[in-house]
Amino acid sequence: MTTNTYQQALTITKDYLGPAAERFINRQITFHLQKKPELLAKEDIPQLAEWVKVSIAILTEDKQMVDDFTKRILKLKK
Amino acid sequence: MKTVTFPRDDTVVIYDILILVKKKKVAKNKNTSLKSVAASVASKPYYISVVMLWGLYLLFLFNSPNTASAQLHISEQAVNLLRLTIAIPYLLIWLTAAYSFTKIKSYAQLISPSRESSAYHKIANGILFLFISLIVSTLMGSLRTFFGDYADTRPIFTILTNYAYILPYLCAFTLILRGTIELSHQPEELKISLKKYIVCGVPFILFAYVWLELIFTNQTRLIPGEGNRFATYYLKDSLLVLTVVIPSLITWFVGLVTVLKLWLYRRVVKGIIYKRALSSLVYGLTGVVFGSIILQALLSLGNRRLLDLGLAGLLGVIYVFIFIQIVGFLLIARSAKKLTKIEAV
Repeated sequence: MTTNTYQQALTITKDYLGPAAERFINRQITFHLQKKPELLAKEDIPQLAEWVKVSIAILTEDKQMVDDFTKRILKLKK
Repeated sequence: MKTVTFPRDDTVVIYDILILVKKKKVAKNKNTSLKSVAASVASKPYYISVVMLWGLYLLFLFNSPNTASAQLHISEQAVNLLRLTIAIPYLLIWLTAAYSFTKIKSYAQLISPSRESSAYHKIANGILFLFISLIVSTLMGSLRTFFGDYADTRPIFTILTNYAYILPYLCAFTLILRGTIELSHQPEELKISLKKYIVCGVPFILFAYVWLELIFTNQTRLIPGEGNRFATYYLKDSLLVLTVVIPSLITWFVGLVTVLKLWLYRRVVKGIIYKRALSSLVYGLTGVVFGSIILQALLSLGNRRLLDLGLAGLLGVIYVFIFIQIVGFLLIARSAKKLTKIEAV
């Protein structure tokens, strides 16, 4: 059963990576947070946001987009 | 007074370092799974095959009877040089087609078993058919010229060459169209409006009209005229319409619909970064499809018609559309690399 946090993170990621969003967010959670994607919790959000920021920065030089994406992920902590 | 710049915020510096580290890992494939490394399609066999087939093409080309010398009023050496100036771009287009196929196929394998994987496999296989079409049609044309001294072989080689310009392209465009439709989760998203059909259909019909006019005013379409070794089709008008005209028009229509649906998909697909990576694929396939259609239409008109353009005009037209296709294939490869990069971070 997937957590609400994971679904919300996935929805945000889809705005940037479309069909590749699920694979991307699952990789970040699996490799960097060392847990199953569906078990993503609110306390994992700050660490996830850091890795998302690093990964997205490799894909785009648009710093504004990277910041927007990171801020939206960070808001999930609340 | 000298201006003093303060160091950036420490957090920004740390992120920059992390980005550099991750970039290096991506570059060395350390952060990718074994599956992604294994997924890449071996490209060397394709390049080797292309070079060998090109060698075969050169063999037929330079050992073919030289009738162009008399037709164009130039020396035999000049004819051979001209042949080479066409042969080299053909090698480039075959190599870039092979390159783009291996890149997009590797991406399709990398994202397996996702829903998009099947779609990209179809698109990749369509590109493979385009690649094969280019080679087959060129080789058939050179075989036709090579056996030109044997009058009995001229009809069969001419007919086969004309069919080689149609059937593989139809397969290619159909596969790419099926792949494009499969990319979308909702087929109604890719529905082409009546307005778009009219806007795109009018130039298509005009193009078809001009092409048909050129075919049916060609006096050497069934029997070679005076001074010609070959007829253009060796087919009666009824068979010409049934086996060349109608299939060609269907092929071009499928190509047109493919391009329209690709642009629609690009418009509806979510994900800003994904859309940007996909854009090159759409531009590339557009160039390749239209370049193929126009080049195919020109070459199917026969040498006699083409020589009416004059040598410079003929070469110019052929180079332009070969260039469009080379750029198209390179854009496809570029898109595949960008899409692969998304999977590597």
